[in-house]
Amino acid sequence: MAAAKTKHDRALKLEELGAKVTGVAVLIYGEYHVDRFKEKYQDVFDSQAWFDKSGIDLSYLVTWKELADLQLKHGTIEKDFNEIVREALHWDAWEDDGEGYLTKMVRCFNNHNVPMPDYVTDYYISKGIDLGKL
Amino acid sequence: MNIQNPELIKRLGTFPNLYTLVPVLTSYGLIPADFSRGVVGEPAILRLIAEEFTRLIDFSEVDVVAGIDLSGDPECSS
Repeated sequence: MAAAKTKHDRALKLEELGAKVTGVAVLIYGEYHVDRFKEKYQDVFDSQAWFDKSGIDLSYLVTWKELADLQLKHGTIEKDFNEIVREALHWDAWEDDGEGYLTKMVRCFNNHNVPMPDYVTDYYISKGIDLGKL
Repeated sequence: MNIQNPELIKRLGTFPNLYTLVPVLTSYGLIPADFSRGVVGEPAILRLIAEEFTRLIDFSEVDVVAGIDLSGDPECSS
């Protein structure tokens, strides 16, 4: 559930057709955190507020983090990958290296021999961050 | 976690490449990992997921079940 944004849009479309959405069922409940950038992500907060007030029941089987931990517990992914996955939905974690997650990401990519795509390098250079120096 | 069936828990815990270490450009910027939609492509797992939902939701009270999205991210919507 991407901070209820898409569900909000779909619920409105269904309402236009005369249907009332009473419940949403998702396999994974993504727990999004964008606290440091509330202004930038205001639409996310607005959508979440709508969902909270909508009266729509949310049914989910597992959270993104719980699933990542389940994969770690079974030895399917390693601890460094688990840490990256656990924070993957925290968009603000990837805005800068203030919390060290960009450094963890670079190390994790290197440890797993995943080449850093040029567009990622360029993306961070445009934000004033040289991943090669982390 | 709202899953009770140990078989589903084990299948999700051992599903290969469930998370992929790849940068994903979303409408909010980059995130470094994505979720494999492949897990819901396996009929056996999909059946177990459906069974769990029947435990959580009283479908006799629902008039219409509408599929909305595989992913909530509008960038990845199908």
